[in-house]
Amino acid sequence: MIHAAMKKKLWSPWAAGFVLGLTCVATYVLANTTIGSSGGLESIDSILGKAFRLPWANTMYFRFQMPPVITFQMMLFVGMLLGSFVSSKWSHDFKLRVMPEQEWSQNFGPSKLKRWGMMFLGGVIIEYAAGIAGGCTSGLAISGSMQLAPAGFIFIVGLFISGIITTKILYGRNY
Amino acid sequence: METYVIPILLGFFFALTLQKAGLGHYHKIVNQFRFKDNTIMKYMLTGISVGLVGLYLLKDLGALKLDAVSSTYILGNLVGGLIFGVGMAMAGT
Repeated sequence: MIHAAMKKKLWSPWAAGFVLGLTCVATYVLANTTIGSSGGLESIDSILGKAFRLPWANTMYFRFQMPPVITFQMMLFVGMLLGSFVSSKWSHDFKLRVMPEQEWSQNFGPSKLKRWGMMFLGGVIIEYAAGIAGGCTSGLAISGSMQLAPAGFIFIVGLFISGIITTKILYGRNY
Repeated sequence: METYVIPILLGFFFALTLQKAGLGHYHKIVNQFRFKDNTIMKYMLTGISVGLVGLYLLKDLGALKLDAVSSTYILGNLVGGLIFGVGMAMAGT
């Protein structure tokens, strides 16, 4: 039964969401914390900054808010890499993709540089915004909302407002 | 065990659901903002609902203290969310 489920390339989003909910409850029970991803990246930054003695590593933020230690979220990344690798390999969905399948090139042309540049810029914006908001899609929108924290719902509202506007601007008439 | 095995195991299942919902793909993210594919909405809201019921059930049974609740700063959360959406729509991640 497990094999049959793992063989499928896509699950119904309801089923995947159900397992996500159970995982979040398990996280709270086993580790007394919530799932999140953006904080782990900042901890990695902090460790790198300290290792290479970069000036910003001495700021209050990276000394006390995000100290250079191995955190729960960093170990979560290891598990996430394993999980997505096993999942995609099992269903023969694993492939190194330089460009997204069709959606991108239909609207933005075949330039790889454009795609990677926009992905990099988008990634910087995402991480910066996650620092301001205090979490990302997983850490605040999902984990926060399921604890009924207003922060999670406010974040979802903001995310969708600007996400829709930005997509509309980027896609123009093709929206 | 506490510091290494448990987070790796939890992360494993978290990313497995993401991959199986197809959220590693650019078009899934962008098409949510274009309302052509509501996978994210379904995935997130099911996850939130299941987790909500589970957490508060365990809390009412006394098995869990809900003491890691994300703190709310209305302006920070809203402004952060507004900037986050721009990055999400651009990168498609």
